[in-house]
Amino acid sequence: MHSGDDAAISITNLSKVFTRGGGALNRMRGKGARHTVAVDNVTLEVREHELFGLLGPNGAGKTSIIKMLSTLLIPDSGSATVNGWDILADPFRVRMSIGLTLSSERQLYWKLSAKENLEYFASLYLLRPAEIRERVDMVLHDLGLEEQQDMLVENFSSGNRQKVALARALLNDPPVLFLDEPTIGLDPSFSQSFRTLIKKTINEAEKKTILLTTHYMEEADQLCDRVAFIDRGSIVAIGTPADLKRSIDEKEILTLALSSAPVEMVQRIQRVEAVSHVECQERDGRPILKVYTDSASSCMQDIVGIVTSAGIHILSFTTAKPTLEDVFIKLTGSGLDV
Amino acid sequence: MYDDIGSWDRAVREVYAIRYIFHKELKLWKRYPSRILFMLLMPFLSILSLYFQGMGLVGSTTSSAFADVAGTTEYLVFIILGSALFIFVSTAIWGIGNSIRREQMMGTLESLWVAPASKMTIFMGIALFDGLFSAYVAFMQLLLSSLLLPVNLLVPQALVAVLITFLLMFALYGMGFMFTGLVLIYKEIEDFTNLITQTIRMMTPVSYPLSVLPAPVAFLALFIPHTYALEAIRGYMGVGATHSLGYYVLVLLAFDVAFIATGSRLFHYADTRARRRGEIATH
Repeated sequence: MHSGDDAAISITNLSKVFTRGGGALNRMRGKGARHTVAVDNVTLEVREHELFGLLGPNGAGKTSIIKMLSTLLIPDSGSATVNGWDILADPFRVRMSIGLTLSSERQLYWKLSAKENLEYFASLYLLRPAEIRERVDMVLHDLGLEEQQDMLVENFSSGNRQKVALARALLNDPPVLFLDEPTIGLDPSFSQSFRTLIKKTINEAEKKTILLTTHYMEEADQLCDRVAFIDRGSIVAIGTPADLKRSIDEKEILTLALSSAPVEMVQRIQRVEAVSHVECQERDGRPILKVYTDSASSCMQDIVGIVTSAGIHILSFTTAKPTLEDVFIKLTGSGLDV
Repeated sequence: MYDDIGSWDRAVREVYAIRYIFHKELKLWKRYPSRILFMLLMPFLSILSLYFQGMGLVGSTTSSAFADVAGTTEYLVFIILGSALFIFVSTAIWGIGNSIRREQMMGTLESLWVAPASKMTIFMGIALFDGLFSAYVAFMQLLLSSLLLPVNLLVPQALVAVLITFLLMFALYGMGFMFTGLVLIYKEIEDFTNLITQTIRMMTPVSYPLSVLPAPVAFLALFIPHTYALEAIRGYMGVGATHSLGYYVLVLLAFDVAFIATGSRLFHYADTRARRRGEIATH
């Protein structure tokens, strides 16, 4: 790494506000500019060889942070270094130090083969021809793409396209990788194998520092050494998944899928002695009640009694330990599927 | 992998990248067969169209009336040379911007922008492909004209035309950088570029001499490098009066420096603006 400390990525008070519609024409029409706070005074550090997750709903500011770190977006204020290089003062060195995959499927040339794509991008990473041949062969082998290397990308599955994008991000053997929603749109079994590839091969074996964004709670829980929750541009909590889950006082969560959930009934459940907090969400058009409690067994009967006496059907009923999503909901008051 | 890269080493690597960019453009071009058909037929159809236009207007490939305004009776040679050189103008002005717009629409632009290679390297790779495409079309126009029509354009003086065209290209690509900057700001600028291309065609002596234009328009044409390149090429090909070769070389070099410097600055401004507003990849 360039600098002496052990932070591969260091962000201090980074902020970004997007302004739209502030042109002269709009002013003449009497329309003012619209300001959207994308990133609000974010400070965090990612250690060398760490797999760090930015977890938050769509529009929370995760991608904006990654784009600023990868020099695609200029921050309004604050500073950041990647691999010891300042993102504003030395963007060239930052680009030399990183690999990036974006969530879009169209980040490759579909009319070129996987190998042609990789050779082309390797040249843009300023590898010499001999290095290009060596690195392209290596990443194709490491990611299990050798047999499909001459196939046009347009004929690949979504999962294998994402693999080619990951291979591209590894071409320059960067110490730092940014993965923006790496498993979005992938089927569950491929997502699982892709996560294993990221964790075991890229992070643990190749010792890459990885900053990934996701709104999949289980992905962050499974992969990340540490996680930062981000909501409306601000970091609301940072820690290991285990620490964050321990931060919830309540030990158990009852989840009830109901035929309906009138406000009076929810208020009655909230008043049950062992209940500390009730969240009402909607999933597939059905109300879902999440009841946070220290002891599910001591309040279960009361809750069931309140629901049935209101003439409401209980469609399913589960008890579980808190997940990262529960922590996020507790901290922000909203879920991740926003 | 290359923490210790020096400026000379980087320059060499950027040159290698230009080669790969050229090959990528070529591969993508070849994957669409209609483009190959267009390339084969375009020079042939364009010179026939000029020939029939000339025959329709004056009934011959030469015209004494034309000599009164252009200083030469060789009407057909005059417009074929104008047309051949204009291929370079239209391709250079719109080529890089169009390519960057295509990357934006395909979703690959951010992947290019995050790579360490200089943007100018990316542009040079695209320009090399476009330049060779233009050179092919122009050469085929001259070759087919010499083979099929009663004119001979494959003369030794054509080498001077190659030099002049080479010098013109830098100024044209400076204009191309400006339009690429406009793509980053305004995205869809095809109509605007067409307007500019047609305006340049109207203002410069592509199909007619400057002397037929109103004086203010003819004056403005003096600020367009293409005007001088056309005058020089026609002069050395024997269809028009000319200054010395040194004069044209100096004038074109001055345009090269001015347009490349202005184009690069404008592009840099547009790139910074787009990165500040988060609009690199927006449509």
